[in-house]
Amino acid sequence: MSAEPRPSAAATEPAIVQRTLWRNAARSFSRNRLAMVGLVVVAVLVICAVVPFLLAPQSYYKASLIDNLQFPSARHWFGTDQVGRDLLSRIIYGIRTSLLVGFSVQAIAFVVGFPLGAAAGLRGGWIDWLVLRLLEIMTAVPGFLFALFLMTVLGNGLINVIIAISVTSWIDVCRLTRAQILSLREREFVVAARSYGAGDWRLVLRHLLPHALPPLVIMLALGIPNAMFAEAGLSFLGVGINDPVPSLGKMVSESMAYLSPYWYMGVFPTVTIALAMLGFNFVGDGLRDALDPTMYNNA
Amino acid sequence: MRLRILSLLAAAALALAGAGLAAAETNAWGVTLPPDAAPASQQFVRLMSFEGTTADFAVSVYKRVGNSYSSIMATPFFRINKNFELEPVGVTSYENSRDGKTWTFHMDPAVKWSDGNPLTADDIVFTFQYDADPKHAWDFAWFWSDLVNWDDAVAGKVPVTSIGVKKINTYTVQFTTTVPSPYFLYKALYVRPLSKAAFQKSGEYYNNDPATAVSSSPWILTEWTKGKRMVFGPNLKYTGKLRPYLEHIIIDFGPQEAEFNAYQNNEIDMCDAFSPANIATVAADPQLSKEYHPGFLDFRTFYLGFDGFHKPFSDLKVRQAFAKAVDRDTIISKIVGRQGMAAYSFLMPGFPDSNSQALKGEFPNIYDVKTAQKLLADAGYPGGKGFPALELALRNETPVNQAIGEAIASMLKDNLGINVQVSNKDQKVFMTSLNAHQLPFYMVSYGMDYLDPSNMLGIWVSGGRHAWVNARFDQLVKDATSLSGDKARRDSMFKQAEKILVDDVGGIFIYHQTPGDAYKPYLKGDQLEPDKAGVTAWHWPGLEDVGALNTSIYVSRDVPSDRHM
Repeated sequence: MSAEPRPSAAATEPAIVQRTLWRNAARSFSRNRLAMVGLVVVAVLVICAVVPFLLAPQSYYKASLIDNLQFPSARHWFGTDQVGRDLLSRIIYGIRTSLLVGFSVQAIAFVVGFPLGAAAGLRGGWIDWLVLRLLEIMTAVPGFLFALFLMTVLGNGLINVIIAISVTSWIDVCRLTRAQILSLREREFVVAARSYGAGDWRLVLRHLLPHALPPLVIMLALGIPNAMFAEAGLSFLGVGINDPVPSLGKMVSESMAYLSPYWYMGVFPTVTIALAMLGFNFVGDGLRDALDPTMYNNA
Repeated sequence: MRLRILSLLAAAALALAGAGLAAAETNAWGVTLPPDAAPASQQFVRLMSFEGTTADFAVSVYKRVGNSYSSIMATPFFRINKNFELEPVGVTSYENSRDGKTWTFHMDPAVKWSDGNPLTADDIVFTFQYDADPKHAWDFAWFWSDLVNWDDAVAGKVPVTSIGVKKINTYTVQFTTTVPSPYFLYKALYVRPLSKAAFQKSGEYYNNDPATAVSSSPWILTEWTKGKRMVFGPNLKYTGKLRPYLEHIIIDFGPQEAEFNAYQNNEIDMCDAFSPANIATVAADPQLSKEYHPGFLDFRTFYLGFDGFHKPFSDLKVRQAFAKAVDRDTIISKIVGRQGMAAYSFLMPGFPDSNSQALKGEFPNIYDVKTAQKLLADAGYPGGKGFPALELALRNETPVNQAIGEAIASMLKDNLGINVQVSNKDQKVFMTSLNAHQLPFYMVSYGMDYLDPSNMLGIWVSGGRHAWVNARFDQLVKDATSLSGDKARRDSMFKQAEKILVDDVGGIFIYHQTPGDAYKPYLKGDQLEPDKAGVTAWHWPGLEDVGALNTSIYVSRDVPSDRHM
């Protein structure tokens, strides 16, 4: 009888810990100025990506050769490109492309990397051996070059870009998840949950994931700009997104032939990429500061 | 007093003699330089190109150094001047058989290799057998398909010794084609011999190293610093009749993008690679504008092609709709500018049998959006509904041609409601797909290899790279190609064939390239003076193949004194 209250305490402990952690993290994040600046930038980018048709003054594919290579003006705030398309509109739609790639790649990284890492960490044995060997093999592959190779095989296009970048993006997520699970699996609340008959997946999803989540969130947040940058790089090299679908990297690439005197063709998409990188990195750094208990205690 | 007068007279005579001697300066070969030429030490030209793996056309066409600087060490049978006239260089005479299939060339015995061996029929036969050898897998083998047994030899079905290139005696060689070949002399521009002895001694890349290089031209390789530059200097053992002024030809290796900047910085003397921004810079600069010379180069035409063997492009109405929905004039005025002219047919104005003006008014060539929309609706795709999404494939194109592709995609979307994505593909991937007829829709270009309509129109004959077939066209081109002795009829047949090509929309011809080049004002010579059409450009084939430019150009006295090799 005396042991009756213990399970409920064990079951509720993680939830309490998490609630406190997230609340403290939110408070810490909101006090971090750079993180808040990053959050504003990211919010603007997300709005651009979600409702570009409300913000873009023109269609992204509508070419008007009569108006090609127009410098920035009241009619075309960012000027027009080599075939007369409104550059502001293309940048707004280009943000959608970049974010789509960034979020999709991270989603795939999580969907693939987390279960593999969790299975390896939790079950150990031959599964762990197999996952580790797979990680070693994939780590030996240079990510961007492999994506470049895949694009030449698969051909250009948005879906193919996401696939090509995703192929190596799950490695770090998997490795981190495995390490987190290994460090958590012998903790009291996990042992308690096991003793009450919790299965592997319940254990992972209900008990381990909440504890493993903070560092994963940081990793995924910092991975978004990396994926965006990789897409920009592939498109810059001509193996990314097909025209007329706008891509910030492709816009920079195309601008090179026109940069003098049409400087604006390269400057605006480059600045947009830089802002997106900074925004997501500031948010990622802010999340790390907020969620990393070590940093939190030091603060 | 008398003595003083005599002294003055003697001094004046010496001065005059000195002036005369100065004007009569000679170069390394003892050629007297023109009166306004700079000293012999300044008789060099600096260019920029990409680095290949060979200096010889006969080793590889697509991997050779630059596109205009190979075979500088080979004396060809013929070369071509600025008016596209053939000039014999390595032959003293030639004759054609009565049936038009056999060409006999008598080589100039005065031409020798720099190792002392004479340039003989053995070298010619050896070069052709090497190029037909399947083990060599020469990347330009298709070019000599009209030679007897050539294709079978390339395929390994018969020995290379059976090809239609035979030695008659030491200095006489005979070429035999499968059909009468009135165009053959122009193809003979590409008879660029390797030295059999040097090849057998040092291998196929013997011309990549100054220590083993052997030349039959006035120049020989003196330096090839990998990744940096190659230099051709005087071959003092040259025995032929060419009398060049330029002592050195220097090719710095660099990307196309760097060429214009290098030209502006006076690091090179000639530039033929311009981005759209470079063209704008030239147009805004009075001096650069003077140095810029529009030309025809290789009569290159850019066109849209289709997979005409499958739907939707197997339907003529669809092809016509596409043709009528593309506004060439706006593309030229807003994107191409001075680097091209609108095309209404395949053969560029100025090319033999070009009929561009007459074909301009053909039905597919008239930009008419309403008719285009009706044609598409009649084909079963009203407003573009049901039409498959397309990819317009490009062959690793320049920014200008990428912009053209994007403009065409936009026109097809606006005018016909068809979604088109533009994909600039790797050259090898593109060509493999094109030759396998796996590209539904593409833009590509073709420029002449030799100055005869059979060369240009021949690529449209069925079985070639295009998925389009027209039996009447095939017959006309095949018959005209081998027709000897009736030029008027031959010309007429080619014109009829080209009309079929336009009307049946084998392709949609977008523009003829008129690529300009810029060269420094101190480069002078007859070949840079206006040609018959008034063009002062760096004429095709440039300095390749010991062309007429090589021996015409010299550096005049107004060259900056600090210019160096």
